[in-house]
Amino acid sequence: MSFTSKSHDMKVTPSQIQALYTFTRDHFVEHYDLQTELVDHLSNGIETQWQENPNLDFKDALNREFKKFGVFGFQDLITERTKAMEKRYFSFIWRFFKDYFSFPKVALTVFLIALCYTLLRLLPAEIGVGVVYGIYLLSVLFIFYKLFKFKKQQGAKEKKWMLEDMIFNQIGYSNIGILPLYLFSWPFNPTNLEAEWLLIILSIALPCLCLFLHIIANIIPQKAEELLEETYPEYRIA
Amino acid sequence: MRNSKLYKGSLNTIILKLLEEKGKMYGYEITQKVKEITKDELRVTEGALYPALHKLEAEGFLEVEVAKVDNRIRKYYKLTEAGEKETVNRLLALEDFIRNMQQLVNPKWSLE
Repeated sequence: MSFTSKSHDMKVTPSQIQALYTFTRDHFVEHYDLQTELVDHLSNGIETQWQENPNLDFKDALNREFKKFGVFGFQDLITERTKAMEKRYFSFIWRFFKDYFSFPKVALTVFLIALCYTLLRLLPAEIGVGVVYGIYLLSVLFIFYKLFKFKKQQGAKEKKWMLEDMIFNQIGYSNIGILPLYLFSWPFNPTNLEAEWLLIILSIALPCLCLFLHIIANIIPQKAEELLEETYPEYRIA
Repeated sequence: MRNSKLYKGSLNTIILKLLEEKGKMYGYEITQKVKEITKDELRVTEGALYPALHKLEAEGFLEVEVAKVDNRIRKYYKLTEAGEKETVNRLLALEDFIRNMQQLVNPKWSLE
């Protein structure tokens, strides 16, 4: 009797938990947040199997549990998790972006827009085109510089958090912000720059682009710790 | 999952409803609970459950809480305020669906 009651309590040991982490890594789950959730899930499944068959080998139990995830293993989960996390990342960008359109920061935004408009208005059109392209080129350089710097800082970490990866390694998303300029580049010649509608659009778009880049490359990385804690309650425990 | 296509659209509603009743649950617990309630007729697959949970979390309907249990970290999901409202709406929608299907499949059942 005592044997059965003992077998009911059979738990996955700490070294087996480590083995499960390795197992998820070997199956392409790169990030610690998803690994942790899967390790707990697999452990629960294995323990349930042990309740029925206490002599079952850990590896066999694990394989049976893994099979339940289907032929693609963890792949679907990773894809969906990434999508969900991207959504969250964009919501952070939006949260900080909105800041610049509410008091008091909106003053800065209005000032930048007015400055841009005045410059483009007063400067000869030829120079205006140069200013627009100059800002564009500087933004590209700025992003490359930041990306390079973050890559160096991050190095090889054992525990990688998906959101952290997005914050520091995927500011390449910034291309989305730069994209509109490609679209605008066709009417970019001195004659067109005299058109009022183009002046207004550019005066709004350029400051917005700069704010966007400032948010993804400066503000969010600076607040990374805070945002990671907000997203992952396990960030402090782990 | 038996006839899984029929159930697929309702997975989110099932999750929300369970969380409404139980307060907080972890992934494995949800799969077991569904199995238990439906007497093993309905099985929520792992490959469907976690994507659904993560999506609901990203949409702000669920929030996460962690605890250390048996040497490992366990992630619990619970409803946010928005999630509670969403649960009510989805349950109403599901009830409408069931009622309409009943009338279509078996019109004699109509109470009118």
